Amino acid sequence: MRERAFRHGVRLALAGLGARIRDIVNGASGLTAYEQYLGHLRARHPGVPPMSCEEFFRDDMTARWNGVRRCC
Amino acid sequence: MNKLIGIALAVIGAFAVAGIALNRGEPINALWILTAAVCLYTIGYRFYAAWITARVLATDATRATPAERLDNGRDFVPTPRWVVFGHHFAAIAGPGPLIGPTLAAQFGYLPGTLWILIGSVLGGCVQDMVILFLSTRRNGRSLGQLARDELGAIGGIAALFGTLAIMIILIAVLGLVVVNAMKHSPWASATVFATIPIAMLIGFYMRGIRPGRVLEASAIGIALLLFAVIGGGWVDQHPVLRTWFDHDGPALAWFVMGYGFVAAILPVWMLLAPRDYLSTFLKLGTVVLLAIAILVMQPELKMPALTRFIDGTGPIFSGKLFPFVFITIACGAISGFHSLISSGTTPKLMRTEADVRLVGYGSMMLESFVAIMAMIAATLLDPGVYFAINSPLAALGGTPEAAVATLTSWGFPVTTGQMQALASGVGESTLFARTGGAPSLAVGMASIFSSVFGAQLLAIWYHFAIMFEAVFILTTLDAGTRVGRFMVQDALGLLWEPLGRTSWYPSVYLSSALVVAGWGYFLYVGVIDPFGGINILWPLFGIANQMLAGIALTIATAIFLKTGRARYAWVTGLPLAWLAVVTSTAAWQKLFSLDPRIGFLSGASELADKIASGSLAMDQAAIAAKLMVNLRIDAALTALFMLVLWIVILDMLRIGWRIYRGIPTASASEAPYQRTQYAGAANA
Repeated sequence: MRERAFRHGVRLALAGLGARIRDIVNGASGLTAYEQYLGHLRARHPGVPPMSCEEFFRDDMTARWNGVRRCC
Repeated sequence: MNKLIGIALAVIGAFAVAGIALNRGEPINALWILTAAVCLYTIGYRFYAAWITARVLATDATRATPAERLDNGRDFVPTPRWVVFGHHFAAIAGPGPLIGPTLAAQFGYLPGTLWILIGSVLGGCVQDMVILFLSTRRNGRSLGQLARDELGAIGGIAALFGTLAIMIILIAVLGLVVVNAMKHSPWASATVFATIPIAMLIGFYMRGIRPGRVLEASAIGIALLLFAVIGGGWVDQHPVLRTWFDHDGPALAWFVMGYGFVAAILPVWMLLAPRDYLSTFLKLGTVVLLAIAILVMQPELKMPALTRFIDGTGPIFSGKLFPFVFITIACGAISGFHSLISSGTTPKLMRTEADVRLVGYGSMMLESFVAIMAMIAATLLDPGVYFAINSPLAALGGTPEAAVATLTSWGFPVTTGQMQALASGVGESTLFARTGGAPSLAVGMASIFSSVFGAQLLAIWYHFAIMFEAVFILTTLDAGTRVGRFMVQDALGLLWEPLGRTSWYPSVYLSSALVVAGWGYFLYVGVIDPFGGINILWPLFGIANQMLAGIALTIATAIFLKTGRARYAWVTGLPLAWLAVVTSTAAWQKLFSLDPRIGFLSGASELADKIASGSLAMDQAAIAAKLMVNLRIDAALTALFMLVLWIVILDMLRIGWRIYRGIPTASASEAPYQRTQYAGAANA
């Protein structure tokens, strides 16, 4: 009985860790950038029509590579 | 308190055992170095960094960051701390920490390792964290803007000049590393060429087929890259195909220049962005894999702790242990380049000031750890093999036979048979004089990987390692050329307005060509140099990088002085003093040393004498004339770097003197306090 509870706990912990790692990878790879942008528009500028996903990524990429982004 | 004692004991333990092994002259296991590194990082992070954030910086979790105040959903975005960590680490970690330690291993494993550990914990990590904090407090201002605000117009120009200069030198030296790895190697060349269409394919995929599906696209890209490594082997086997990819240094140098030019003018989505995703994932994967493999393999270091070359006679680069180990290893210990990232995109993502320790200090710790692994990969090779791969033949007698004889007489036994067996094992025609650090690192990595994950795959692992390095060297080359292009356009725009327009094609072509010509010149001269070019360019890069670190630390010290934290000014002041001493000594020797192998000027006059005496054959004399001009340009650049560094430092000291005299001197630019709206931030 205790062993089952323990296993369950381990599984939960691993699932939690997995979800966190997924969030970090998604966030760091820019996967959630468009949703973030939509959320921002909705919250701060409700009247403004949002760019489409394609437009956003095109625009975002160009903007992001204008400064020093990579180093030695 | 218990933790403190525990950790202190761990460190003492690790060092003690290492010390014992050293004293008895026994070979030391790489695990001891890893242990010592992890202990030192832990102490640095838990105590020193925590103390700096609490006392010196006084980070305030209740204070709204620019990401919160200026949130625009684009570049200012409050972001979870580990995501910022990922972004920041991906941005700062390049090929530098792999190359520097590999070259510095010629002094033995100990000097480089100690400098990487101590330099990062007290210098590099502190610099990255402090600049990140200061920029976050100032709405994410760039290093150039910080310099202008805090030191005045001269400081601003110095920072701008430093950034452009370091970019040019860095790209040249990295280009040289790639060229040396591909020279007369059909396998390596075919694989590296293949990475370009693969990156473009992924670019089209991310734009046209499945926009924004970054992970999916990257997974496909990585699979294709691995296939390219294997495919390169097939090309190498094919009697006709292999001749298409078998090129000498100058041809490859022209190719790299053409590539850099095209990459700087193409839209980013087509080549630069997808290549960057691929290189980031590849880098993280390889670093993790390497750490696991070292833990499993537990290799013994075959290189002695100190070699005879601490006297300055090393074949890989000339110059004594002091100051040259501190110039050779910049990235991994302290890298001025990082301050550009710490004051660029990263501060605009910080959700709370409390995260600067993890993001600033923590990322640099990880980068330093990568440098430690590169040091291990270099020193687990037989020293004879290591020197045979990394030294230019001209430094060892001119031919492979003479080279092995010289190395054996120096006490690093190696035979041509051994080198031949190793070369055919990794699928290369020769491994002699493959300077630049990449092939030697690849041999080291391949021997670690193949001993853990399958010995038959040595050649595949070797070319995987070459591809891995080439991919992110080319990423830095693209990105750097592009940034250089924007900087040149800014400057040209002051002369004639249309030249400043970033989308006007004549200006785009002109400025890109100027930047490529800048680094292409150094690259080309490096390629034709019989001594391989690395021995000239790498110290120049080290001096430039340390100069930029000096500027960053000067800005930080000036801000501490201005904001009433003079008693803590040593936190950045001491690393600055050390860098100033080291860099100035190295620059002085590079300029004025009478040894032509060290001093740029005496090297140039030696060549001038040779040309004048007519002792050189026609083609050699032509090369010598180019080298002579190049050495004089290098000397001028070195002098300029030093001038810039000392102007900035003196400017800071002037500010310090004013404050000491009681003349009020305000820090110009901190954004006013605004309370954060995030619940629970106050006790975070």
